[in-house]
Formats: sequence, structure tokens, C-alpha cells
Amino acid sequence: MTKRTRKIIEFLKEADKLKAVKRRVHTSEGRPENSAEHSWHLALAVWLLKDELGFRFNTAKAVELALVHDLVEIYAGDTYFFDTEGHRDKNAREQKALVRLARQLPKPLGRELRQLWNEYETKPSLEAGAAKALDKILPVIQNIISGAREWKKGKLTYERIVTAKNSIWPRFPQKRDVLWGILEDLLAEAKAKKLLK
Amino acid sequence: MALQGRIGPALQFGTRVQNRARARSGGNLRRGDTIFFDEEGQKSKGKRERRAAKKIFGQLPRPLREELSDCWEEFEARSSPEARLVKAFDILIAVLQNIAAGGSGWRACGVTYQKILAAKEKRIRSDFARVNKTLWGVLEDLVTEVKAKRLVRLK
Repeated sequence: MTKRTRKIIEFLKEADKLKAVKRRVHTSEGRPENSAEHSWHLALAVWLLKDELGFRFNTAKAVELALVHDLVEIYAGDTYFFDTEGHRDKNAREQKALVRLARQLPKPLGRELRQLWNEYETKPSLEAGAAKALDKILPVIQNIISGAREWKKGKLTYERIVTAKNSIWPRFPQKRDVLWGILEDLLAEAKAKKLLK
Repeated sequence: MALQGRIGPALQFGTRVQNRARARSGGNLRRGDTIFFDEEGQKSKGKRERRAAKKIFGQLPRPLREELSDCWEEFEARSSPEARLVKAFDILIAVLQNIAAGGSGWRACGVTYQKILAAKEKRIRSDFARVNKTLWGVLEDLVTEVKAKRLVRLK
């Protein structure tokens, strides 16, 4: 193989480490979910919901965003949503990790990776919006299918979750859209199942 | 996705290949993973997976049900360039994963270098035959690496 291809293969080996980054939410099997599993779940979610969200978007782009959105966690670790301390230096840690990751790829690809990640983090595109909103919805699904261990530990309530999710909800053409409705329905389901106060 | 552009222009990248990659694990969900070197398991794999695919995809609303099911069928039949490409990557990633893990997965199943070579010729070559040569080259290099690093017994 060429040197370039070898570089990409080495990157794929490095990317394996995302499977070792544990998240706070659990799987239906009752163990912590890892970030690679979460990224796959997000890619699947944006693809499956492509015709449900009330706006047209580039599915391939959204799937790409999902695939790369957490890669920086290989070096920066996962920052739990309700960890205020960790969120203070989250951006600095992740920017550093992004540079380190991109450097391991051949040039145009490294740039593409940085562009995708920056789009996910900062651009109000429909693709980033869809991926980001679903990224906030997936932990609710995880909690529902795993008995809400994390919520119970943090004594989280319906109101606190709604407030928190609202504060980080991506900007869309409409503020209250289909995605927000999905979140509310899931939280109502959790409440009905007595997983959430 | 990182190898996009390295392996030839004729394929429709973006969603088509990604969809194949995701739908290919749909059958796994209900019937469990069958290790490549489990000859007994490989015999019943198709039947078990078909049943599982029906069960998992059947839970989706139309037309998504058909879309995923078609994706999976396309992958299984290797009936498009995208399906063949994803299959080639499927194999490549498994080898890469075993190398990255120091060969422990193979050793646990009694896989030897000889078995890997035999599988490469008998079962894998055909999967790569209609895919761009670059990927076959990558595979050959990786298999050589397995030997050089002595990750499994020779025989």
C-alpha cells in the first residue's frame, strides 16, 4: 500500500480507542455505553429519521458529522452533560485533541475532519442541527432502555432535563420543531414509566 | 470514509456506501455474530440472518422497512459496487482489528497463519475480485504484517 494509505490505516487503528471511551449512560445490557457505539447510534438515527424532521437535509453529510462528532474524545475524554466543572475547559481540550487527530491524517483528509468537526460544533446548518439535536435525544433513549440509572443517581427531574436540553438545543429555522417534540415525548414516556420525577 | 477517493471514482459514495455499512449489521442484532473461521456456524449463518433481518427490519414503518431490507439484501448478494466495497472493508477492518489487538481474538479461536492464508485465497479473494486493486493490496500488506509480527502460530 502507499504511504498515504498506510497513514489512514494507522489512523483507523488509533480511532479504535474511541471504543474505550466510556459514557455515563448505559446500554440495554446494563453496562456503560462507549463513544464509538454512541456515534454509530447517532449515524443510524439521522439516517432513519431523514424523512420525519420536517425539513430536507443532506443525509450523507449528517451521517459524516455523526461519525466524527465525538472522535476528539479519544484524547479529550467524554464530558458528562451535567458536569459543569468539566464543561469549563471542554472546548480547549477538544480543540487540542482535534489538531492532534487531524495531524495523523494525510493533508486534505485532516482538513476535512477539522471542517466537519467545526461544522458540527459551530455552524447552524440543518445537518449539524439534526445531528446535534439527536445527540441530545439519544441519552434519553439510553436512559429509558437501561432503567435510568444515571438519572436516578443525579436525582434529575423532568423540569431540570428540559431546562438543560433547552439551553443547548441547536438553532433551527423554527425553535420548537419536530425534534424537540421527540424529546418531549421521550421524557413523558420516562415519566410515565417512573424513571424520572 | 477516510479511504474515499483512494479506491476509485466509479462508486457512489456518501449515503449509499454508508447505508450498506449500517444495514449489514442488521442481521447480527438478532442472531449474534458468527466468527469468520467458525465453519459450522457459517453453514447456518444465511438462514439465521435472514430470519433476524426480517424480525428487526419488520419493526420499522414503511417505506423504511423495505429500504433497510433492500440494503441488507444488496449487501448479502454483493449485487452492487457499493455492496462489494463494504464487504471488502468488512474483511479489512476485521484483520486490522485483530492486528491492533495483538492477535488475541484469532488465537482464542485457534486461528493459524495457514488458516488465514487459506481463507484469503478460498473465500476472500472472490470478495475482492471486483473491487479496486488498492484494497486487495492493503489486505495483502496487513496479512504480511500478521506473519512478521508473529501474531498467530504458523500452523
